Amino acid sequence: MKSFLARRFISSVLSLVGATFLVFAISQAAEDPLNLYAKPGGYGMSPEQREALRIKLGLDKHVTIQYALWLGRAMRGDLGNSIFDELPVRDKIENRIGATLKLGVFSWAFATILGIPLGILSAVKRATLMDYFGRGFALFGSAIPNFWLAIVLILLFSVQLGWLPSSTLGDGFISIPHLILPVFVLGTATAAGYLRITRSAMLEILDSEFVKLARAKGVSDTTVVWKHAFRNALIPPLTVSAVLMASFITGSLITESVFAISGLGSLAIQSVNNNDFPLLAGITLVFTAVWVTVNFLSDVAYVIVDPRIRLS
Amino acid sequence: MAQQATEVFRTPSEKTGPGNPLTRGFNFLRRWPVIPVFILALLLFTGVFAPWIAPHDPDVGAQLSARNAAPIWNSQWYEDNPRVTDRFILGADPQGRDVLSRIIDGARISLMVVLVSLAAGMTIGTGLGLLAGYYGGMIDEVISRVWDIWAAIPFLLIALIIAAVVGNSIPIVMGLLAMVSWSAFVRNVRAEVLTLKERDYVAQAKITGASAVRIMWGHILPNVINTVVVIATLRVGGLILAEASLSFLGVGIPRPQATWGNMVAEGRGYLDTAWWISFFPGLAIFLVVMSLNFLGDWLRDRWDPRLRQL
Repeated sequence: MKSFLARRFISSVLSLVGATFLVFAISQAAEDPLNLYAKPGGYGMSPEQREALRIKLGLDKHVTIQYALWLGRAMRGDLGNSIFDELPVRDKIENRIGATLKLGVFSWAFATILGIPLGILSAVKRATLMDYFGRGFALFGSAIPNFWLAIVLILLFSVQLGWLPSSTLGDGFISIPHLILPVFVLGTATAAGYLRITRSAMLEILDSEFVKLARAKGVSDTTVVWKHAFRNALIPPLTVSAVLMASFITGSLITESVFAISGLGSLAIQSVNNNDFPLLAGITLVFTAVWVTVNFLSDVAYVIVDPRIRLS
Repeated sequence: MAQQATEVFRTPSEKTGPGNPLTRGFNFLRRWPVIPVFILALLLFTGVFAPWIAPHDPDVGAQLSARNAAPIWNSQWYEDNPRVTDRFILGADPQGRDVLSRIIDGARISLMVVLVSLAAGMTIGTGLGLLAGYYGGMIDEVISRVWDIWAAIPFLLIALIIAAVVGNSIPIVMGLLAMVSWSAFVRNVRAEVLTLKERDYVAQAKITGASAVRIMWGHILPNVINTVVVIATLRVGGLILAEASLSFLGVGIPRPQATWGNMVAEGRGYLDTAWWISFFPGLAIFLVVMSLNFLGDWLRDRWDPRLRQL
């Protein structure tokens, strides 16, 4: 078990290094990265000034050295300055991360509360109206493009009915009306994923020998479902949590851009539009770090929940 | 009395009557993926014959006065704007371009991009899965670790960066989508090969002196092809969504070209005045992806129920 976790930990760290290095490599592969900072011949810059800037930014060094330097500074908490407004990347990220976290946590809660119980109900009451509803939702949620869902919801609830605000997360710490639409948009695909996986896991377990034995011994339905089957059915959703988390990160880019929420996702899009490469590298680091951490935690949870791994 | 007795022993499905044409029709729809296949056939047909089917030119507005023309059923709009002589079935966009024609044209480009990238991802993923599963050891370790690392990189973010640095074009979108699509194949093919290579017929082939390539290509690949097809069907929908998301964020297929993602993005500014510009292309994505997922599920249950957890 220890070696399992150790291996997962090493691969998590490697992912982090890989993703951030990719950002560096991409910026080098295409053209002179100095062009991202200063367009050739633009801004009335003389060639000498350009070269001075190159040295100041450390772009005269080899990409691996640049990366190592960046990594060293990043580990000490210094992510460099944004090109666009020369503010520290770290401050910019800290200002924005709250909104994204808020959105993420609420969407996660929404997806879990909706997806897992519905998946279990759908399996227990197989081939009933409940099951059709659950399966319908799973199909709907995994097929609907979230940017379109956002637009349709805005159209319906903000433009036509005028019930809910169509943008920002509002003032104050938590504003429920502002959260409803973005959380629904971000959470639906994840809820559908949870539902699907929980349902199929539950179906498989309800069909297994030990459940049949429990039923044969006369254990009540409630006990069979909640005590015997439920805990086992939680393992597959746990293991895919990290994959579903992926949809959160890409989803936050889109959701924040549609709802004009000033979080990390919209900051990323902004930094792309401004060719703000240090900012983008910082955001990639944060996003990947969150992802990798969740990935690792779900592995730990997996070990805790599944005794087959814990004892091996 | 006798009637009642038989009634009791009937199963619920018999109670509704198997002879009832409505029930029969419903059961038929449940057993065979008729509606999804119909939608996908329609997509394929319009995609291939786009230039001949589209009622208007997808890239050039018909009339200047047709700006944001309403869908055809809104006759009030056409009465208010008598100068607009053309009729637009699903309305027109701010440049007077027909929404339906652009959806049809977009189907073509999306189909092409997604199929090419899926084929690339499928080839690479299946190849790597075969190698990792068959050779094991160091090769397996390396491929699995690369897969692990790859799975933890936020793809849309990387796509944004590439678009910022290199600029966006159709080949780049294809490359990006191929980068997302390969990983699902590796893991499942690898797992499959791990069990297949222990089979007796593989051992026989080894004894007769067949080369590793021959065993993988001729003896193992035919046995994993079902899995590959099922995964491919399950993945197409996700790829279409990914392509549309890229286009929506402005880093996908470059603008004047009609794609479903581009169209939804273009209509965002006109939600309160011309909702149809965004609505219909999004609906098209939704229907197509839903059909694909449905078909994928159906294929999986028929061919490869072990993949159920996917």
